[in-house]
Parts: sequence; C-alpha cells; structure tokens
Amino acid sequence: MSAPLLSVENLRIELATRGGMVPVVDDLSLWLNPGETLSIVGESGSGKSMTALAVMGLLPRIGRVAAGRIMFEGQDMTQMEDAALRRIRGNQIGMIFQEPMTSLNPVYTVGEQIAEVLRHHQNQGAAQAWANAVDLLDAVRIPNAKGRAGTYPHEMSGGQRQRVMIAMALACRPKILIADEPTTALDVTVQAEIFDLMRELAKETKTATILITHDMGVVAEMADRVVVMLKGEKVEDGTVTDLINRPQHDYTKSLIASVPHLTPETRDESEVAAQVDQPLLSVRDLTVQFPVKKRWGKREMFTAVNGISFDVERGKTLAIVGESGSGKTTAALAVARLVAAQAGHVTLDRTDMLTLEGEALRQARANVQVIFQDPYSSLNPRLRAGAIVREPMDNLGNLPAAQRDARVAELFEQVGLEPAQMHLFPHQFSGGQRQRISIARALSTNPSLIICDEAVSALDVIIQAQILDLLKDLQRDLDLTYLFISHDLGVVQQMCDDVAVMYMGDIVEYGTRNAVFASPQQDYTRNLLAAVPSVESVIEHPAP
Amino acid sequence: MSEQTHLKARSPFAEAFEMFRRNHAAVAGLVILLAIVAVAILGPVLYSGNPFDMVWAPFTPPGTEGYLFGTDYLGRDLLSLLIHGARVSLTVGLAAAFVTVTIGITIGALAGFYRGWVEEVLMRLTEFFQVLPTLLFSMVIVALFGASLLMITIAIGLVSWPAVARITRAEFLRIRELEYVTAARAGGVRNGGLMFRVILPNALPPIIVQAALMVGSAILFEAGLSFLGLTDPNVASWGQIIGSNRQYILDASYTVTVPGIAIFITVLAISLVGDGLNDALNPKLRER
Amino acid sequence: MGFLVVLAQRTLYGLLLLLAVLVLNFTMINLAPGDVVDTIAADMGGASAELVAQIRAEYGLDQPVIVQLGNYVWRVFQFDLGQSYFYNRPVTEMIFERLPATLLLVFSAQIFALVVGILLGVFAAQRPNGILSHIVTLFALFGYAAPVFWTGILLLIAFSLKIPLFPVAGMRDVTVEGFLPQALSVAHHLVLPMLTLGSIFIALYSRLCRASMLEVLGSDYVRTAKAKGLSPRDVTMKHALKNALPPVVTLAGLQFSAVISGAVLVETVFSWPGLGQLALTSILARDTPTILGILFFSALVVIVGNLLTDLVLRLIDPRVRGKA
Repeated sequence: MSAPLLSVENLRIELATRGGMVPVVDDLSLWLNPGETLSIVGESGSGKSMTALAVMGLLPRIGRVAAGRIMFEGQDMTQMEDAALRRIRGNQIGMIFQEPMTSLNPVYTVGEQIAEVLRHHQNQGAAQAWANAVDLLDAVRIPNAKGRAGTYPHEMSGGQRQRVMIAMALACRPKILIADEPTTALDVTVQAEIFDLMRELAKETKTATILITHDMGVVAEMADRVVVMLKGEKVEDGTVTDLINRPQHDYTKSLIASVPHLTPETRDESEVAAQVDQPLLSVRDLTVQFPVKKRWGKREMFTAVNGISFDVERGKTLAIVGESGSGKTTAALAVARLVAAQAGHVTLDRTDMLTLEGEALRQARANVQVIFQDPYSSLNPRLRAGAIVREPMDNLGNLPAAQRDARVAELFEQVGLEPAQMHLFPHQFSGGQRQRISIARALSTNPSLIICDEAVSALDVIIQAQILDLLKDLQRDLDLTYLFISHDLGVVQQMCDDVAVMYMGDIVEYGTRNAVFASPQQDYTRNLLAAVPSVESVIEHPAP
Repeated sequence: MSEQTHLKARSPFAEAFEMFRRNHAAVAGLVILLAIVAVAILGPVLYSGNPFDMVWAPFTPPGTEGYLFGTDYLGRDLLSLLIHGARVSLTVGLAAAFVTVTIGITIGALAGFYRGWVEEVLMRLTEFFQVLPTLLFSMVIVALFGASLLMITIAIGLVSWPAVARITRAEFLRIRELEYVTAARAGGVRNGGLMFRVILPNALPPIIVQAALMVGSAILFEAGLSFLGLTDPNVASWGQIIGSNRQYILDASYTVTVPGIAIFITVLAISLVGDGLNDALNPKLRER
Repeated sequence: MGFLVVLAQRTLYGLLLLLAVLVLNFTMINLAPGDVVDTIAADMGGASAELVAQIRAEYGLDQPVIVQLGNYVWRVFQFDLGQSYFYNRPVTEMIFERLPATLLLVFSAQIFALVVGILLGVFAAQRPNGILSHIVTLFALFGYAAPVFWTGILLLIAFSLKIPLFPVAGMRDVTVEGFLPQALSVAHHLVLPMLTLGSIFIALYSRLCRASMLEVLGSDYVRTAKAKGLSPRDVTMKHALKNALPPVVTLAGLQFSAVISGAVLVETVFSWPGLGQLALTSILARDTPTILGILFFSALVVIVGNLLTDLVLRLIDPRVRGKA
C-alpha cells in the first residue's frame, strides 16, 4: 500500500484553563489512507473533535498543539504558515460540522456560500462559480437546485442544510473530508439519507473521510478502520471488523454493547394477555393545537397532536417514539396538563384530567410528574438539590413539614445519591447526577404516572445505561408507570412494554413492543427501524 | 461520588461574588463609590455652612488658603458646593434608579409571563415611552409640575424604565420556556410563585447590572437638567454649578472643570461596578 | 414584495404612536396647574371674570374635555400647533425654522458615531486582549461617564478659545454667500457639536459592536468560513461583520430619543439654533404650546428614525425580512 495521505504522530493538544495548560489529547497517532473512511469514536470530552480541529488548524484561541506532527503530503501542518494552511483548508481538506442549524452563515444565500469557495480556491468567475454551486446542490440531491440556490439557510430543513455543508466541503474535490458528528443533530431517517449520500460521493470522488462519531453502529455501517478514544487518549484501533468482533478494551466493549439490537426477542406471551384491570391512563382523541402568527396579525392553528388515543397499564411502560416535530412531547405534556389540549379525554386514575381547573388541577399534579431531557436546564440553578426535590412536597400532598427532609434523604438514597449532597447546588453535579435529582423530584409526590421526556437523550451512552437501569429498578420496586417519550429506538426497545409510533401528530402504529419491533405494519415504522445504525453488518457469525 | 459529599455548597451568588472580587477595576470602582457615598453622608456634617453663602472674592483660584477648589462667580466656596451636591446627585440617582427598576420589572415581568394581550398592551406602552425624547419629556414634566427634587426623580424614573422593562421581559420569555419552570409548575407552584420565586431570581443578573448603570445615567440626567437650570434653586447640585458658571469659562475654567470631574468620576465608578457585576453574573463566562 | 406592505404597516403604527403623543400632550396641559387663561390673564396684569370667560370661550376651554381633545388633534393634523404666548407667533412656523438645524445635528452625530463605533468595535474584537481593545473599553467607559454638556464646554475651551480652530457659537457665518461656501461654513460650525454629541454614542456602539463581534467570531458559521480557507479579512469583514451589525443597528434605533435629548444640551452649549434651544427658552418662559409642539415634533423624529432603523435591519438580515 502507498504512503498514508495524512498521518498524525504523537499529537498532544493542550487547552488553557484557570489551572494552567491541560492536555485534552495526548500521544495520539493515527493515519488515513487514500480513499478510505477512518472513524474516530468516543464520547463527549474524549478529544475527538479537538483532533479534527487541530488537523484543520482551527483550534480555539485557548488551544494549541503542544507536541507531535500532523503530516499531509509530506509537510507538517503544525509548522505551516497560516497562508499555506488556508490554501489547504476548504481546498484539499474539507470539513462538515455537527450543527447544521448554526454552521451556515444566516445572512448569505446557500448558493453564494458554496460559490465563494470556488471563487476563492479556483479563481472561478462569479457566473461560473454560481453555475457550479447549482450543480453541487444538485449532486447532494437538493430538489430544484437552481431555484434553491438563492434561498437562505433558515428557509431549509436541518437535513438540507447538512447537504449544503457537504456540497460546500466537497466543492473543490478535496482529498480529505472531515465529518465531525455530521448527523448527531438530525433525525434517524435523515441521518440514513445523509450517510447514503456521503458514501456515494466519497466513492465517486475517491475522497478519504475521517468520520467522528459517538455511535458504534455508525462506525460499523460507514468506516473501514476505527480509532477509539477515551479522555484524550487512544484506547485501541484496528479494522472495523476486527475491532467489533474482538474488542480488547472494556470501554470499546461497552460502546459496542450500547448499540441497539433491533431484533425481536421472544417474550412470554401470557404477559400480553394479562390485561384485566382498567388502565391507569386512558387517552382518547387527544388534540393539541397552537396558534401560529401569520401575516396581517391573522392567527392560524397548527395541529401538533391530531386526535390520538392510547392506554397505559399500571406498572407498565408505554413508549411514544417519533422524530422531531412528530408531536410526541406535546402529547405527553398535554396529558400532564402542562400544555393545553383543545379536545379529547384524559383519564388518569379515574380522574378526568382535562376538565380540572384551579386548585383541583394544582392538587391533581401530584399524581403525574415529569423527568425532563436537559439535565442542565431542568433544575433551578438557584436552589439547592434538596430544595429542588422538596419543592413539590411543599406545594402538594399532605406530608407534614417535619417529615419532608427525611423523605428527601430517603429519595436521594433511592436514586443513588448521598443524602449529604442535599445542600449542594445543581452546577456542582455531573449530568448523570443531575438526572438522578430530576428522578428524585419526580418521585417526591408518589405520583402514579411518571412522564420521561427524552430523559436520557442528553447523556453519554455509558451514563445513559446507568440511568435506564435506575428507572427500571425503581419501576420494579415502586410499581411505577412510565410514559416514555424518546426518539431513540434502541432506548425504547430496552425500556418499554408497549410502543406508539407518532408521525406528524398522528399515531401511525401502536402495539406491544414485540409486535412493533418484530413485525411493523406500517412503512414509516419499517423505515424508522431500518434507519437505525447497527453493528449487524460486520458481525462475524460462526459458520453453522 | 464520595469525595463530592464533602464539597462545600457554593451558591451561584457566592461564585459571582468571588468573580467580582477578582476584578480589580470593579473593586476599585466600588472603593471610589463608597468614598463618594461617605462624603455625601458625612461631608455636609463635617464641612458645615450654607454652600450658597458668599465666603470670599469671586473667582478665587483653587489652592487659595482655606479654599481647596477656589470660589465661583458669586464667591461661593466650590468645595462646599461639591460636597452638598454629592448628596443631591447620589440621592436622585439612587431614588430614580429605584423608581425605574420598580416600574420596569413590574411591566416586563407581567408582559413576559402572561404573554398574549397583556404583553401586547404593555409592550406598546413601553414603545410609546421610548418614542418620547427622554430629556425633553422630563424637561416638560419639570416645567409643568415644578422643579422639586421629588419631581425630578419621578421624571427621570418615568422616562428611563422602558430599558429595564425590555430586559426583564426578554429574560422572562427565555426562562419561562426552561424545563425547571415547567417542572415547578408540575410540582404545584402557583403563578405568583412561578413569577417571583422561580423566574425572577434567575432573571435578576442582567437587571441588577442594568440597575447599576441606571444609577449612573440618572446622575447624568439630573446633572443635565440642573445644567439647564431646571432644578430646585435652593439645593446645590453639580450640574447647576457648571450651568451657572458657564459664561465665565475664559476667566475661571476650573469652575466648570472641577464639578464635571466630580460627575465623571462618580459615573465612571458606577460603570466599573456595573461592568464587574456583568462579568460576575454573566453565565456565559462560566462553564455550565 | 412584502417590503411595501411592511413599510405601510410600520408607518401606520408610527401614526398611532404620534396620536398617543398628542393625547399625552393634551393630558399634560390639562393636568398642569394653571392654564392658558391664567397665563394670559397674568400677562395682562389681572383680568375680570367676564374677560376670563370670554378668553375661555375663545380657546374652546368651555367645551367638554373630549371635544377639546378632538379639536386639538384635528388642529395638529392641519399643522396647527397653536400660538406661542412668548414669541406670539405660530408654533409650527418657529419649529419649521429650527427643525433643519436639529435634524442636521442629530443625524450627523448618529451616523458619525455609528461609523466610528463600528470600526473601533471591529478592530478591538480582532484581539480581545490587545492594546486597541483596552483603549476601546476605556474610551467607552469615559465617553459614557462624561456629561455631554461638560465634554462640549471642554472642547469649546480647547478648540475654540485656546486654539481657535472652530467657531464658538452658531451654525453659519452670515457674511459668506453662495451655496458651497455656506455649506462649508455650516460644516465648520458642525464639527464640535457633532463630536460632542457623537462621543457618548461612539462609546455605546463601539462597546456593543466589540461584544457582538466577539460573540459572532466564536460562532459555528465563522468556523465554517475559516474551514473554507478564507483569509482573516474575508472572515471578519464578510462573514462576521454582517452578522454582528443587527444588535448595533437595533441599539442605534433605540438611541434616537437619547440623541435628541443630548442635542438639547449640546445646542445650549454651542448656541446651535435648533429645537433644543427653543425648548429651553420656552420652558423657562412657561410657553406651553411651544414646548408641547417641540415634544410632538421630536417624537416624530424618533419615530422616523425607528422606521429607518427597521428598514436597515431588513436590508442586513434576511431572517427579519420574512416577518411582518
């Protein structure tokens, strides 16, 4: 094999902090061959993005390459003049980023942003660059590319914007494309389309790709070779097949284990048949609409939830899955009366939730609590952890004030925190710990229904698994009922008894977990399931 | 986790205080400000006498024995005028800022919390007050209703609140969408509690900064009005000294320079404190 | 397409605001202790009850309040703001005489402050810890803390009295003839007032522009622009600046009323023959119709200024364009 296109040798990157220079990447070596796809995998803070930025010479102001070399075509990029680096950036090496919503300049048209690269690096004239930009938009399958070239980023969807980014990065036919979590902010079906596109274009243009991700399923589907990083260091590397079939390091194993296996497992059928009681929660024809302001101050109603019905048995978990904008969160919050519903019936524990008003409504809130998605914004930063958990008890329920602190301590132990941590403020906890505080708060009023709104989506996979285990343990011990909202089919499969699939305000498929995952009836569900990256394709099955 | 058990609780305000303490410019501003406040409180007691009394020949230059800053065109002791003026400037500044913040927070909080027609009406009202040229409008109020210090304070407060209302509303709009507010609602907190115990404390940092700057601009405002002669003629005021000595700048420029420096240093000190508060309270500068 | 519609909407809204100003004016006249008749009677050295009633009828003060309000609004829309007690001339006539001077001062100071403020802000943001950055921060602090009339007097002492570069007072040299010499004379007179008035706002704008640039320079799309291999100049001037401008323009729009307020003080210091000077003399003379007329016209200037700001924002930011 010929010499590698790019090689990183003993790279050390440091960031300036209050406590001095701190290494975020240390002694990292890797190489990229022409035409191949190399994946760097790790969780947030592992240094994978910093590595990519170092290759581009785009480290933040507070960062620097402290040691090592980055060799590209026989030259050390860390020693290059800025002008020379600029001739490589966008020309020889292109890059796409995680956030398509914020990575395009909002005040220029997408066509202009692509044409700019061509004018800059290839000295094309304005008209030629524009024509080429339109061709590129066409190549990344933006429909009506000619017309769309004149639109602004905010007029496009997230998936389309990421296509524009790809077109921009590939405009000068670079030798290397660096993609930093390019689909993390996108829905799973859109992710599948973007990956199809990237594979096809890379093949066509023979571009070598560095794909940065946290998802081993993505690695299995996209990459040839992989480097696993943990806390700034390489823990292991190898070909994808080798690494996934024979992982050496525990961390790699846990990453592989976290990839969902969306294959049916046989379950005891009697479980499904045992429906005798009245369900704890019964939702009928629930409709939620929002006013949308139109021109001339006219208001139009946008239907977020379109007359959906479902039941949740006591002690069971119903998952509502769907992509962004499907109405799943709105539906759940409407059940809890945290969003106003326009029509329908919600019966929780024989109480008609939607007709409650005033004080009766406030008291009824004790019976349904919510665990939110973002561990950073779901806790009031000005309250101590203990006060946060105590707040619902102070307002609802009939526990005497003298017993509340004891109850808070008990809850802290139940969710795996130490009662001594009650006096700390939220910013003194990690993301996973904060989510535990959220869970304790939700348990404080002994609700019969707990809504988990994307409760683990913001967490790294290892922490995610711990929180899911906690939720399952609590359900078993306290006979809890969950309404579990998620976009992540892997998580849903681990957690739920029944599944409702939502799409644009409607429930398109509803059934037991087994039924929905094993034999989906609707095309939409099938596409959704097929779009989830898995390691299946590279698993070596022993010969029969 | 066990090492964390022994962690000391650090409230966001304690951290902000720590940040503020490390900001030398802000601490210097605070020290200067405290000194000026001390002068305003103690000065008139220690350096008694009516500042309007003619004590020496007019235009006695600064440094003349017994008269640190000299005398003005009427032979009044400039130092005495300055000391008495400090009291007026600071009182009007603080009182006007208080009026401003009270009106601004109330209007902004109601608009940002209730949205809908309440917001619509209150924001139109805010825009209306922003259309009125502040100084002209307060000149009119003072002209029509009399030039007492109370009226000046009310006039300044009445024209300055829209900025606070806008900031408060923006913060309320942002914070009311955060999950901990929804969580508090789910936890049975009533509307009043949501507004004042959950949202307001979290909305305070930018409002505090704005309030600090308001004190400074109210002092400037009062100085402007009294420079124009629209003030209570019976109380000494920095702007008034400049205004009344303006014709004589060729003969005695110090009668204008010195009180100007007093205003300048006071407002500068307040701005430094305001900037320090901004850096200390701005969550963007701190990791989450 | 939507542009004219938006323009029409904003103009209509501006008219409503003006109407509100009129109502406020009217309310203040009625709330203020003493009215026209008292003033006139006082001027005549006392008047009999009969005469007072006669004057009342003449001014329509014997009619119900709502009718009086209606009359007042109707008269204003015919550009009749009443008669000045002090100068004994129609208020509109006096305002139109002086409005151009104020407009010239206000708009030149605004534009000067914006241009200089933005330039300083952009350069300071290039090196957030550089010397220029500290100078801008210092200048911003000083410019804000110095009372504008004091700055004016200091500049006057320095550049008119000690070093006679600029005239001491007024707006033009009456002895020069011809358009160009006159224009140059006005420009010469304008320099110090414009610098004085602009200094506060340069401070405000440079500070905000620096902060806004710093934020934009840390944004994802600026990273994208760098990843394209663009030069630092293109990254700053093309990609960052246009995104950093909207907050500065918005602030400038909100400052129009403050600029007019500052103009009152600056006009007094430099004897600039604008509305501010007229306002002060009429307030000291308790000439209510003139005062309220000036308040009305300056509100009009603010409204027009806001409208212009709105249009500029639409030009810069495509995301605002879509909204009504």
